[in-house]
Amino acid sequence: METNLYRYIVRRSLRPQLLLIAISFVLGLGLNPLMLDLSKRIINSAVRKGNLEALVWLCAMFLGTVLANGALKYVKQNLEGYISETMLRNLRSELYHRILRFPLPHFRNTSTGQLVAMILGEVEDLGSFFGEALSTPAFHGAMLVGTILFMLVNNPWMALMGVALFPVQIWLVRKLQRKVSQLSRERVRMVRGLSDQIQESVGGIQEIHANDTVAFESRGFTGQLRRIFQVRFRIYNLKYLIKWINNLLEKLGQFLLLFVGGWFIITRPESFDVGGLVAFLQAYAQLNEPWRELVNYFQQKENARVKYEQVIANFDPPGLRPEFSLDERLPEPIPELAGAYELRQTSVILDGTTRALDQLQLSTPPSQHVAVVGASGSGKSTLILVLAKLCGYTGNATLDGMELAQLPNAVAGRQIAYVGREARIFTGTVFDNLIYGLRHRPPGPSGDGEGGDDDLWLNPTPLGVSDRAGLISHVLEAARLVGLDDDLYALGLRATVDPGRQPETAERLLAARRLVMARFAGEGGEAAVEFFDRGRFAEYASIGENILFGHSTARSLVPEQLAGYGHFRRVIEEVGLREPLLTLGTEIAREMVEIFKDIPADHELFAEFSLITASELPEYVRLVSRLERTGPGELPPEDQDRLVALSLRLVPARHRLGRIDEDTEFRAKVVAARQRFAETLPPEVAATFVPYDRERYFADGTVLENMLFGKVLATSSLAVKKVNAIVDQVITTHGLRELVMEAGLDYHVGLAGSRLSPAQRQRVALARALIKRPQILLLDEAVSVLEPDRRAELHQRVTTTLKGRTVIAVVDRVDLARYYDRIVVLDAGKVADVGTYQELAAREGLFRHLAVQAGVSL
Amino acid sequence: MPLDRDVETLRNIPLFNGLPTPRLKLIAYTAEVVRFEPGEVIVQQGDLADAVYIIMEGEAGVWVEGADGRSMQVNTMGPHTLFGEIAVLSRGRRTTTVRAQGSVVTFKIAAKVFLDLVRHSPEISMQVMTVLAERLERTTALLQKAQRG
Repeated sequence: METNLYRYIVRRSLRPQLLLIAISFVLGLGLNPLMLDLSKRIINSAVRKGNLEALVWLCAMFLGTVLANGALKYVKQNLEGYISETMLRNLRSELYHRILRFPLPHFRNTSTGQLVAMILGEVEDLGSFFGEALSTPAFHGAMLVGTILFMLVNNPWMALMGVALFPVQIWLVRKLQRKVSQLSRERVRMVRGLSDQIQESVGGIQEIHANDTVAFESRGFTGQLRRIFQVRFRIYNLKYLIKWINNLLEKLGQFLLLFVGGWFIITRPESFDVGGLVAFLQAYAQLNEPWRELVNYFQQKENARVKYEQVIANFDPPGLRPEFSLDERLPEPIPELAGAYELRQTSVILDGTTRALDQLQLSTPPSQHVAVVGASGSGKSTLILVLAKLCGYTGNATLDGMELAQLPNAVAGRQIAYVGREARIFTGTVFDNLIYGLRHRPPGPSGDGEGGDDDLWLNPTPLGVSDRAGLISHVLEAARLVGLDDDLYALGLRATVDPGRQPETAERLLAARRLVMARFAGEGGEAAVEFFDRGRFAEYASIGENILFGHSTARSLVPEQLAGYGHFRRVIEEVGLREPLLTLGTEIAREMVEIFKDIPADHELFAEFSLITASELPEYVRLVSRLERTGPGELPPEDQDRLVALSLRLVPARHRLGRIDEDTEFRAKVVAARQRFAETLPPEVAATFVPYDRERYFADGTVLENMLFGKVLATSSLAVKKVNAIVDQVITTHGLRELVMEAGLDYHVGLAGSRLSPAQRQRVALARALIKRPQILLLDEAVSVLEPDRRAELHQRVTTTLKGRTVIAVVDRVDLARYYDRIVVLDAGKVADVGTYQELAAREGLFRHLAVQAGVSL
Repeated sequence: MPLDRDVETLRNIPLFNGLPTPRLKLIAYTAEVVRFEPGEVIVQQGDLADAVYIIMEGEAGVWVEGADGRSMQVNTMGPHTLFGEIAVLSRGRRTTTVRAQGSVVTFKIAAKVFLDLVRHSPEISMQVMTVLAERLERTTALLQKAQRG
């Protein structure tokens, strides 16, 4: 990237900038003197000679020039805006791409917050400067030159008189301005000192009182205040001095013009006239604006330059990865990697000093399974990063005879899979994360470089899969391999299925419901479930679900929208439920605000437990503080609706909030509201509404709720166990497991996977690597957070599945290396030993030493 | 309100001792009430740990399964006892079996929530460390005594 701001601007926006300069010249050197000349002629040839016709013509021309001037200015401003916004967009995009190109070790000492601030905030100011960078000096410069030229042509002596004082002004003002800047910096520094002292006093208040040093501390504080006052007052003085000088010199210029001009007119009327003098004064007044703008511009320019250089410096770390092309297509034919690595004198130096790899020599035959072991700091992780082409190196490192650095990203990204110890999960569904390795532009013209549909960026063809069903079964197979199947199954039971989109799935789950019901009847399982029953209040459903008791495709007919729905309002009023719901809502609001007001908004607890969302919180905080003074009944209607809406979210058996525990009257009213609501539904929505029905699938319920036609009595451990056992059996014996797991794929993992456990995250990362069927799989303690017995199982499974392909894995415990063909022992960035498990276990050496240290028997 | 009552109960548990009321309320609110029937197993030795429990009502026995497969009761826990946190903190498996003696009502705090609370609340982290350190000290003292005697 260009290190110089102007070079950057010229290179990136030369053509529009040239157009802008051309417009500026037309405005400043053409239209501007023309207008001055016209006003002179209007007075001299029309007004003084009493020529009406000439007056009309000249004024019309003047008006035309004014209009043209305005129109061109409008075009110029828009063009500036266009340049600013395009360049800002390009700069941001370029900086983002630079982040993607940072060498991995650089991320260790880079704060994400800083990068965000730079790309979003600091660059913003640069944006507005891009548009003005060339046009402001061009425009105002041209105005200045044009005006002075007009003056010179009309009367050179007077023109010189007009600009005679400019150099004095420049010199004086600059000198004073510099002094002001210096004082401003001093002021900032002093104010910081002040804030330090306030902090000290607050922190040390006990000491201050215990030693009776109040007088001493105040003296210090007032002293600082006095110094700040002096600085500030000097700035004030200087600012007005500059203003005074500017004004004085301007008026002095006017005085000179009037005096000399008047002298000319009286003494030598043939050389100068009144029209000329008026135009001269007008021109002189006009000189001031461009002048001020130019001075301003030079200050701004300085700020922009510093800012640009700072930002660019932060985005230009040494060892930046080579520029990659977003359109990189696979080379034809695609070279199939065999996985023979050859490292000669390979070194990696981290943070400028630490030698993570020290002239390492290593060669691995193709299609072999290699375990890497070593003490911490031996360079294991760095070695895997180099092999994955994720880390720069010196020396030679070849893969199948090709230097790694030359290997196209398109080939490496598709055929090499890397799983590190920290599983990185992206915000989205489990499915999105699993297929991340297939997010490549499919062959053909579809999908453009910017935005576009994610689904278009999915290319499963290399897997021999052509449709979604095939892809899903491929994904589920990998999930099973890494032991993610039980998790997907559990998530699937809690997921929802849209019968509109997947009618077949819904039909099969409905059939399963009947089987579950039959099993319940036989085994006394009914006591474990609260079935949906029109005549009974459901303790395990929310109040909203209790009243709606069905579902609809109409948008107003979902529990979340109910409170603001007219028909609902009428119904709760009629059955006398409004007051109780308001009271309940008030109590919930108070509790929620108390519990969650100090919880960070992006915290998982918020999403998972709070009855109010993070974005609603401020609204409810305000409501609760109002409720301190007034009853809920006196609130404005929309606030009352808010409280009712909150009450509808309560699940009595789950949330121990509000005083409705033993309130049978409240429950009876809810059931009455439920019946009245369904019976009196307005005709336009009645057709879309389907009450809970034993014979129908309901879209808003989870898979489990649909199979049970009700909710599990979650507060009884025995009930949960019983229901799980029966449901599991029905699902397994009727081959529904795949279906449920598929529903689980749509589970949203939360921000960066926060809703998954660490073990689940690692499994997802491993499955993601396997799903793209890599030729080479590189693992860096990729299963370290799983339980020890599971780790062994996974190493075994992975190596069995990838027979005939290359696997190189850092294992976190030496005995796990037994599943690999060969073992490489690293020490201080060099290969200390190589051999099979048996060989290394048999001979005295570092491998045995590592085993003893870790307390494992080989 | 039921939550206030729960908060008072939580206050009696050493781990949560000294926590500000909103924090305690958060724990009480996120905890699930789970009832166990007499004789029912609450946690099973060797299972993966998915939750921390607090006994609210009733008593539960702690059993250790020996290598020979025989179980031996080593302790009884009464109301306001918190258990299961070790396996959750170490992300390991249950080291003992806990079985309800009579009907037991527990507060079940999911492992993820518990870890979250520990991670984001310095007060709880400190308490956890103190309780664990005390326990370690006691165990070490016991070991030393056993060695000497």
